Amino acid sequence: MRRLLAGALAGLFAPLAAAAASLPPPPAHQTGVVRIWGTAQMAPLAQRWATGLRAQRPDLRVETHLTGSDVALAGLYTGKVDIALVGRDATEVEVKAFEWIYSYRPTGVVILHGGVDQPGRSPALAVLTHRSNPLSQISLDQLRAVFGADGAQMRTWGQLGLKGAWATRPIHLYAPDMESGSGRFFRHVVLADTNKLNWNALREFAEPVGGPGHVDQAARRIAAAVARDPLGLGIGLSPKASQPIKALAVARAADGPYFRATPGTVVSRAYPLARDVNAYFNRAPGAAADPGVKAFLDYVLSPAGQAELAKVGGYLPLSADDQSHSRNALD
Amino acid sequence: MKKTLRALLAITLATSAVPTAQGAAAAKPPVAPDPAVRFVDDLPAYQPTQKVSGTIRLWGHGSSKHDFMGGLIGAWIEAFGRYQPDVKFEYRMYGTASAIGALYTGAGDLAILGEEISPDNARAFQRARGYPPTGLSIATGSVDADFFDYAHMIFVNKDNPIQGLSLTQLDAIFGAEHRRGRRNIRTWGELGLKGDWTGQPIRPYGWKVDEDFALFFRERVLGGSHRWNPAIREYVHGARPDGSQYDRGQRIVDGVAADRDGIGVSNVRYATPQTRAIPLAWTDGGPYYEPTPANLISQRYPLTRIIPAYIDKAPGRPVDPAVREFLRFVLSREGQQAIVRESSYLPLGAAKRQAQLEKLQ
Repeated sequence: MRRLLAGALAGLFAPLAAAAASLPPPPAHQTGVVRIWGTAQMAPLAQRWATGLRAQRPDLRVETHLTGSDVALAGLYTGKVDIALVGRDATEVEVKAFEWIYSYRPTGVVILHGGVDQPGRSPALAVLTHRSNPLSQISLDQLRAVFGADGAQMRTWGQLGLKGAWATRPIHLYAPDMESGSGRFFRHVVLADTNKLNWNALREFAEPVGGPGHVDQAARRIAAAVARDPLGLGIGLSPKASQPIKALAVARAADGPYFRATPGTVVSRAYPLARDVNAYFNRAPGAAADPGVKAFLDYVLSPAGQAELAKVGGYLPLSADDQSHSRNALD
Repeated sequence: MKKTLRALLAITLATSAVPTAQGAAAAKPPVAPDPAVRFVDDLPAYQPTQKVSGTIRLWGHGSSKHDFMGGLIGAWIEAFGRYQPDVKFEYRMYGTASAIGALYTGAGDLAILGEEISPDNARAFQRARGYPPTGLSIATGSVDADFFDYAHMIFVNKDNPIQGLSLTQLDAIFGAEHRRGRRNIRTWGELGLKGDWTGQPIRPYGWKVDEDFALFFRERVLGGSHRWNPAIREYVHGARPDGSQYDRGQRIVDGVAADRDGIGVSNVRYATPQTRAIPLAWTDGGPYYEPTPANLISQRYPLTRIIPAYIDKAPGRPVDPAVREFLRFVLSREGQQAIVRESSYLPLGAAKRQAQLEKLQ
């Protein structure tokens, strides 16, 4: 009865209750200032963009302070940040935090691709095996069967098509912590975000919480684990020639085409496990983007802005089509 | 009604509309308080240690659709204002999800959450500030009140003879990493059930494993592991044929009701005659506790929840004086009486309360 009453009253008084319950959200922007936070590894790039924009727009004060993607997205919803540059997608909880304040979701545009293999630059995920392993390619469906615990499951190399002595050997899995940025990306692309995984066969490698100077360790340890284990299948970075491991070609569908991660296959989006780098900002539905935000992101998505990537290294520019698609999203 | 009205007027508001009576009515429990909470009348009264001033920017549990804690917080602010009239509050209770972010981006001074802090939020705070957030428990979660941080209960089918379970056993059943013990448990026989139960597989039912309630279970039972038993059936809110919400907690219990081998985590507000909530123990062999108000307040029941308040306090630095006095007030007799009177939360037990006060020294 109490709940029904509360529900009815809430319906009657909802707009007033909401207004009296909390102050209006913090103002999203200040005129003439563009505050940019983001993934710590993007700081050199963000600073170059800031310098480039200031040269074009001396009227704008551009401030960069990149200490982490989670911190940047929090700044977006507390009104401290105009643009969050993040090397991953915002999580549902981060979107919810923003939405419960502003009553709409944050806007995100892709601004560049993560790199082919540089740690900390949102690198593409490579599927690694020992060099002695005859397997040369794998599809996303097969990865799902190997890593998942629901539906069709693959637990031996024979189920991936290997013959002879390999057929009955078990698959040993090595991957980033499944709650990390890389882990969530992998689960999103391959496993529809499930948390039900083949834990018995999976060894995860966690990244310690680091400050601005932190360099990813997990990928290195995953590569070392696969180098030691002929039965290993690892989710890591494209290997160096010196390591006794190799990357499989990956296809979205079983009949291919199959690709390894290269600058070309990342930019064309042919490689299925490449990452995007996003810019998130606050824009009310039906309203134009804040002029400072638009100026910065127009610069980022321009030839001059994308050319800065080559000077910093590790990231890849968007294709011309993707650049114009993102630019259109600003209007 | 009048008191709550004054409370809201004392808050810096954007508008002058004050339907706080409705907010208080939504929060108030309809029956007399349980005898287990009467001890709050004997707690020490609030004694200010100093006169304080300033503005406290308050973030936390709230939404535009439900009042949640508004009545309680309004009562606290109004009563505190009689002792410390120079403290103003900016009320920004937009939801638990944004509250810790407000602390570490410098937008808030005090975060009152609707549930235990999530590992992601704690990690982000650590990354932003270089030290962990400082949390105090200020209330105990309810036994079975919706939206009031209710405790978790473990349900088995009415045919299941199991007498009780420990956290180690729950970890072994619901998890896949058995951080509390030596092995996973996957059949009822491994828990000592005989006869035709011996080889039967245990089928777990629960919350969607990456959502709020499951995060509490994960931290408390699975030792922080994210490796759940892959056999778990996860539930989110559904819809009944008539369009009304089929609450996830009810779906879980109904699943166990229809499954002799089932075991589910949910809340007694969803109990049905085909299921039984079992007593729980911290360690194998007991003692086993039922989820009574007294057992929650004393923290004896292993799946008791709390309401935390978080601040940004650098190591070696003092707590902001105004925040400190407000938290001391919340933990005082008046503050804890307000919890009983204005909300469906439970007060803090004596030992826990004392431990929180010590954090404020």
